[in-house]
Amino acid sequence: MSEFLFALNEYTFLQNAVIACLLASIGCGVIGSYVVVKKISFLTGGIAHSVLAGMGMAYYFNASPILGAIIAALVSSILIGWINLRWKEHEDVLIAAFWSAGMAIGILFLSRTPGYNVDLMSYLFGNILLITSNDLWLMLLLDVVVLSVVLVCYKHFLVSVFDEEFARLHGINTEFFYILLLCLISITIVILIQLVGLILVIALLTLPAAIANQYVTSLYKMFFLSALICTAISISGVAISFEPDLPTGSVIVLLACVTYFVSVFIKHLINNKKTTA
Amino acid sequence: MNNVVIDIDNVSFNYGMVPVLENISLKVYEDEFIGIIGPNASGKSTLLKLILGLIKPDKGTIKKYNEKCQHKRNHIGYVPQHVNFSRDFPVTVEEVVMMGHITSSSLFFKFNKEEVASARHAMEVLEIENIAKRQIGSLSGGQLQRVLIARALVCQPNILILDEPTSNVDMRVEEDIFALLKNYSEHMTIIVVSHDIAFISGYVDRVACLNRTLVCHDTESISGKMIEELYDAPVKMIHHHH
Repeated sequence: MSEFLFALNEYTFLQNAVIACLLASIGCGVIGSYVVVKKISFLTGGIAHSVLAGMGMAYYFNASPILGAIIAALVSSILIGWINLRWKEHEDVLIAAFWSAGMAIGILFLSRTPGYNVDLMSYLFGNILLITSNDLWLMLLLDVVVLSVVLVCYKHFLVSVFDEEFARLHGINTEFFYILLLCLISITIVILIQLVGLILVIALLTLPAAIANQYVTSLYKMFFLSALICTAISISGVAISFEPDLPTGSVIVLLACVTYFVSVFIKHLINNKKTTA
Repeated sequence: MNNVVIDIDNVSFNYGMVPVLENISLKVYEDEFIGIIGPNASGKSTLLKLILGLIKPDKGTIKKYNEKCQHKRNHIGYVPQHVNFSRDFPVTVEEVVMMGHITSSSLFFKFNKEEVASARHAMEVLEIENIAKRQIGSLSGGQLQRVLIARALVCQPNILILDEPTSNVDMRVEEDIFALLKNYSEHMTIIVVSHDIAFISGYVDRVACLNRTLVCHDTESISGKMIEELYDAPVKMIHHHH
């Protein structure tokens, strides 16, 4: 651990990695909470995987892969949301189709990209140690976008997620807010892809928030707690993986899983004590 | 005679090929306490959804008049039969009651002082102020029902619509809730859907019997024969005197 702290002082790439963890945790805490309370983690996974289509195309046309990721995430979230609103009974099939089609398109374009094949692994599993200061600025910008929308529309989201029918009675366009929420999710996915890659994104968007959900009584408290948990988990992940040179994204995700199960277990023990006492 | 606040004129509604409501006509008057009863699948909830404007009739018209209420929005308060939230949804009783204030123009986190005050008042009336900070999933059926009623009352509607408000509560809570509604009905139009005709006829002014078609009765004229026709089965009549 001391070696990590020493290196943190020394290397900008490590400092960047830690700042990236902080920035990612903001989006992860807020949007992850919505993903968990609305129970759309599978849908979120679908959007995350369809991002590869955008990245593959961007590479093929020699454009910025992150720009491709943002566009693909937004397009697929709007499409999934729109189709889902009209075709609700086949939601799981729809997600599976987007999930696999996105990956397939991405692989096709990547395979046709001439020259040295890009580091596919770093998109799939992330490579936090390669994050540049430009990436950090982009993450900050995306965080600001997500946070300001959530701040302004907090009440609309709360009532639409809690009781959709009631929200509609009060004149709230729940379909609009559903698709807006999916768009915010897709922006957060792009923030998180830098950290853990698109395959593991779903873990950071569900586990910290699910842990927080066990201890809070309000949605806004859940935002804070899950952001805090996400920060702790991701920075610990960077620290642990640094010395033995393990893939950081995988370590972060495994830490999140272990923390979740431990938390569920502890909560279970507390509840048992309460009922027997 | 009081003013008409809801005028349902010759309304029909189908789910696909299945007719749910046929040629329903009903005028609801100001400050009236009206019960809608009928067996399962008789279209009660559908009729409520039509009145609320959540769905549109296939035939006929529904007009709502709103002279008394200055602020145009939310003049109808609605208490649903179920709310499909998961038990661990992170929201407190207080926050659910405050949702009654939320409209499409409510921005940011904060509620203003009047909104907070009216929510507090509604919670006092329904005797839930001591559980204001509790998480919604930890409540009993009766407590949850009170929270949902408070949420509907919070924006001071002039029409209150309740769908089976006492289906998940015991007798004592049921009596409490209806006594409270009776009290409110002096200055509020209340429409309540129920399957329990014997019980509600002691409180409401008028009963609308629904089984795809609709027949209206004054409370005094309810007879065993009428209930048999409605439910298509012999029903035991319990007389109660007040």
